[in-house]
Amino acid sequence: MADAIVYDVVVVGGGAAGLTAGMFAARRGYKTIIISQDIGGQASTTPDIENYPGIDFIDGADLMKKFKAQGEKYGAEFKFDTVTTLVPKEDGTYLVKAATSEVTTQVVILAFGLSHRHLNVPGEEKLNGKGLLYCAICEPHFYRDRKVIVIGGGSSAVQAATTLSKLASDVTIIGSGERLTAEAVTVERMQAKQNITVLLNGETKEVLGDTQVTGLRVLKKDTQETVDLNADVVFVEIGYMAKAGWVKELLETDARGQIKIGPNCDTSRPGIFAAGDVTTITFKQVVISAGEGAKAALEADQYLLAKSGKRGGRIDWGTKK
Amino acid sequence: MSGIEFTDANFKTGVLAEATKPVLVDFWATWCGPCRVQSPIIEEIAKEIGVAAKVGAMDVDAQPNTAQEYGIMSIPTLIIFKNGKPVWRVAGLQTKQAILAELKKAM
Repeated sequence: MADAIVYDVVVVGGGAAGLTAGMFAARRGYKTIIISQDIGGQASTTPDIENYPGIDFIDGADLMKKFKAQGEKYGAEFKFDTVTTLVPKEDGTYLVKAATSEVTTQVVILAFGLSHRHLNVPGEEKLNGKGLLYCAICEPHFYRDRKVIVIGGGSSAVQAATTLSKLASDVTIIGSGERLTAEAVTVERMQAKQNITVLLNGETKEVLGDTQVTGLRVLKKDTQETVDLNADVVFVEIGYMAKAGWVKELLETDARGQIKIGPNCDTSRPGIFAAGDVTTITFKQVVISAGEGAKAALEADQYLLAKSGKRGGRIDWGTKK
Repeated sequence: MSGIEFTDANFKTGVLAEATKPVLVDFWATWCGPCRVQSPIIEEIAKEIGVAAKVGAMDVDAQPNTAQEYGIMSIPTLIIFKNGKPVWRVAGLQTKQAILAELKKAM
């Protein structure tokens, strides 16, 4: 591969945090690129955002496109790619390797958010997209008169089961614990439906089927009995997780795999900052991620100024008109 | 959508009758969150690939017949057609590089 292009700031991830970090870095005059698999991450899949200050109502994908365009206005580049490796170099810079490209950079801002939690059982990879799906509420009207299983006991699983029950012939929801953890009101709404069966203490062992899902093998933990349930469609709704395993060697992460950060989005390693849902911040919201992205970029600015021998000032008064 | 807007009416001439290059069809709908994430990726592929392939999208609500014919159960579903036959098909959000690799294989 030819010599990698040199950037001041590489942002990994193009959701609310990453796009904002890119915009702030570009406004500071840094050569900046945002490398992401998609535009907007989770926020883009949300049809209505009603709590972003100053905007009464907006489609998530539209809001994220605005974030991106605003960054590009100040020179932030955007590239669709999948970052796979960060290599620290002797001179303190980093080599960022992605599936189809690589760049070197002074600073890395990690903002790649959360991904769907997977089951990690046999059959899952093979049948992904072939009746095994991760987004129930996105596509309910394809399940008319079909037999559906929802795996998960939290709010999104219970809501999905309720929605799907209107169209599916019958729905089985499988919780792994002794009770469903969704809010009481959500569970009550689900219980009012006639065609939903609840199976608790169920541990998924295998997704069954050859080229299309035909069922699910479940261990009933209370009786230690294994049963095969028939299904046309299986939904996995077991929450989200930080897939930060690929930076684990470089950075400190918590038990949930989230990147540990300080108050200004600094990580355990100089030159690497992190922002948004992938970090240890408690609340996962678009407005919070945007703020965290801004903080990460401003802290990166401090780092770059110090590195170049200039003095940084932490207060961002903006530029003089 | 950039790229071609496929419909039940133009599917035969626009997709099935295409004899020289692969055709990528993104089956989507306005209410589908992941489709909204997939669309900009498809748009960029359409721009980048130029005349080497046909790239377009089909709204499964507005154009239900084709979606039904191909048994589209979940969206986004992407299908690459070559000489009128599906040669690659996948459901769920895909990365740009994964789609490009398949398109190039079909060229």
